[in-house]
Amino acid sequence: MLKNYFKIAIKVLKRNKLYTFISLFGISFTLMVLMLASAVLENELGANPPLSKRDRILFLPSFTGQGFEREKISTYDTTEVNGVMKIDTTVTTKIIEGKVASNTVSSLSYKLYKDHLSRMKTPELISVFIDYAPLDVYPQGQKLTLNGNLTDAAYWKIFDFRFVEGGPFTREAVDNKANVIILRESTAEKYFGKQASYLGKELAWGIQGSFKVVGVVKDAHTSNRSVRADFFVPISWAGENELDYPQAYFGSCVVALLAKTPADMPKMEEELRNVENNLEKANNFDRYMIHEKNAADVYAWQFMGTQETRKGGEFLGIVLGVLAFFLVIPILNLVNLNVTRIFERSSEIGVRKAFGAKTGDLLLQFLFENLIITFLGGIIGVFLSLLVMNVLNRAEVFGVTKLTFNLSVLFISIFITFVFGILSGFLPAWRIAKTPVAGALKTGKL
Amino acid sequence: MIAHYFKLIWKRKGKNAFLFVQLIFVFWVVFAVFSYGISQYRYYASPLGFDWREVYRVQINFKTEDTAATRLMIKSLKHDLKAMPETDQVSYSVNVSPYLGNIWGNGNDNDGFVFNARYMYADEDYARVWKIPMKSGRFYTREDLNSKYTPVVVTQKFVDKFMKGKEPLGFKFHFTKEMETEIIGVAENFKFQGDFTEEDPFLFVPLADDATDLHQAINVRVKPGTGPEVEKKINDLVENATKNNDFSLVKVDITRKSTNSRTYIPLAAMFFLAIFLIINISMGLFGILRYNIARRIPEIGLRKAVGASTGAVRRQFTGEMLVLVVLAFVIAVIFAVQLPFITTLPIEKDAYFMGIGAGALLIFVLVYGCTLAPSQQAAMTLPAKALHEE
Repeated sequence: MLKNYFKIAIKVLKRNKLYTFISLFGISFTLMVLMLASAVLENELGANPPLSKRDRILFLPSFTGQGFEREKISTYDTTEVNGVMKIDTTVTTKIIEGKVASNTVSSLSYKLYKDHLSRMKTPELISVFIDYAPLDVYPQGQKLTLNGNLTDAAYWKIFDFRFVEGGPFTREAVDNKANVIILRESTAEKYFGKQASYLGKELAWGIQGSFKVVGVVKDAHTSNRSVRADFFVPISWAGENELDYPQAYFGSCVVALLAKTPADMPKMEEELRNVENNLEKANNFDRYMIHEKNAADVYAWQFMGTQETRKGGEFLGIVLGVLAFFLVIPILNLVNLNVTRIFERSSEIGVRKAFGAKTGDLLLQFLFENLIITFLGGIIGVFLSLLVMNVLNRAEVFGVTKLTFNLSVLFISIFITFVFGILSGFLPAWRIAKTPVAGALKTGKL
Repeated sequence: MIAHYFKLIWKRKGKNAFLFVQLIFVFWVVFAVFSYGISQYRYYASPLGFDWREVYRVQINFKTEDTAATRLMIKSLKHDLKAMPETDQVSYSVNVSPYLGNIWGNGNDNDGFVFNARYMYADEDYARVWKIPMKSGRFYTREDLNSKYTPVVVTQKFVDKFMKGKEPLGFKFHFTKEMETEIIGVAENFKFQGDFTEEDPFLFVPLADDATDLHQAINVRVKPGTGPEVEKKINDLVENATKNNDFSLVKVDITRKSTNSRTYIPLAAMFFLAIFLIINISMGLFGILRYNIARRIPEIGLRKAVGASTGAVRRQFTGEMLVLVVLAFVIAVIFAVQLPFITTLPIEKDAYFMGIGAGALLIFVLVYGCTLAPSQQAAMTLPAKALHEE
């Protein structure tokens, strides 16, 4: 049965080449765009290493200290002592709750991590790191700008980097301020030139001295700043003024929390609210806020919102909305074309109906035919998107983020193709399947 | 005549409905793409007011304590950088600088003069490093600093926006409560936030020697034709002077490219999508028209048989299509013109309306083009043949 439908579909495609080309062009380009979009989202936000546990990770990249407005109240008290008027002045400072006079937003301090966050109960693991440490090196006289990440040992347990060779540094290495470094594969290649193994080689990090390579990790496909670095060294190498700024709890650290289960995330957020409230109020700060973000929020932050807001959900909503809007036009176009074209076949339908085919049978047949052409377009679309991905990756349009067409992108693509086929095929198929027999036979030319 | 077309369209409304909805969507897409493109192009076309070529920038954080030693180090570092054979000019500034992304703003209405502008602290060589053309007056020099009033340089945009009818040169006002300033020069432009941004009113304020924490960027202009090997030399000089490698050195060209790419990558993607949609639509339209006309051959035959000319038949088909497009345009525009009044658009209003105009024109031309060939084919139909088929 299906084999017959398939044969008919191919015959129909061959009958009018111009229309087939128009349909296929529309389908394959639309699907290509959707596939590219899903590839970007998959690479950025999918559960791939080093963010496989993304649904359990909460990032704490920023911290707010607010000072409320203050009002000086002077009270005068006059008393008569021995016939002389005496004035007592008392000046009290009243804090006006809620009226924000100053607002300071920055990253977190190491002190905040050590004294408060590291004592949290709900997270399974807590890591502190400094994800911005630019370094210019001149390995072969050529400048190379690297970005470092100063991490603790727990970092390597939260983020499951794939090691090409070697392994993460240990707690002892962090405590002892060992001269160890972990490089990203592409960075190692750029710095040392392509070699079979980079372990044990030394990299000079300015005045800090030279560092021994203990591990090489595979490049991450996400732009998440917490895992994007070119090299990783123990956080003990950070300068004191980087860890803690003079004021309150500000510094340049980021903290990542790993929940035991995804369901524990709200509990973790609740505990963070407790931590905020228990912080010591100093330097005219009256209220503190820790701004937690999940992986989607961190990604959305590049495009919209501020340090204080979480826009991951909204951002995804907008992206999906735009894609849906984009989808409307090609679908309408295809429906239009199909509706027009399908009357070519009224004679065939008349005959089939006259011999007892039900509306449902015909509907199924035309839907199936439409799915075949959509999948044909889908296959072309996959090739087109592979081509475009290659071009985009070479031009480094997305920076270090490299698009890959992995298994989940493939499944998403098949799903999109299927939905597209059903959407664009249903109305024309339904219309034609409903055609009355007599009319179809009369107008049709066999 | 047009009323007649309406009737014909209405008769075939079931078939035309999809085409109609599709055209409305297409109009919206081209409106969005064109107005965004036009507004970005206008930003890009407006003059920069500085020259980014051959400038290197070191972003640095000197120790915050202001000691005589630090001041001396800052001074001698500039001297050393300038002594390099490759160097043309050297200047210190805060980290508000072209393409950096940092913005400082200040405004007040002390002395009844209202302003709200972007500003930066820069030393006296800043205009020479960035080659900032002056409209009138001059950039401040070291001698100006001895005056009671702090000399400042404003941009023409500042004059236009806040000083209508006033002579800018010699104008005195309080920049902050503590700082009384005098305008001694007007720069032409300073569009420092990027090529694709709107120019804001701007002020240059002298960078004091004792504000060591404000010496956040070293701007170095090298002589034309200097290769990238100068980077290592600058790097070594700064590293030796500061005994620290906590700084970053970038050729401004690179920062510029990455800043601009944030605009032109989405722009290119949008245009790519729009072009694809338009091609898709025009091919679809062409196909549908051809098919429809093929199915209306008997009607054409009849019209010709009773004496309609070739031109009249052609006009009927293109006319029908144009009426449909105009209708779709009206509906699309009814929604589109309300948008600027409902929300604040990220683009200027006139760019938005220009976008609507340009987009509409494109679609009209395209639709007309798509109807030409099928209509011609219809018009050429021989009445005898058409009627025979029937």
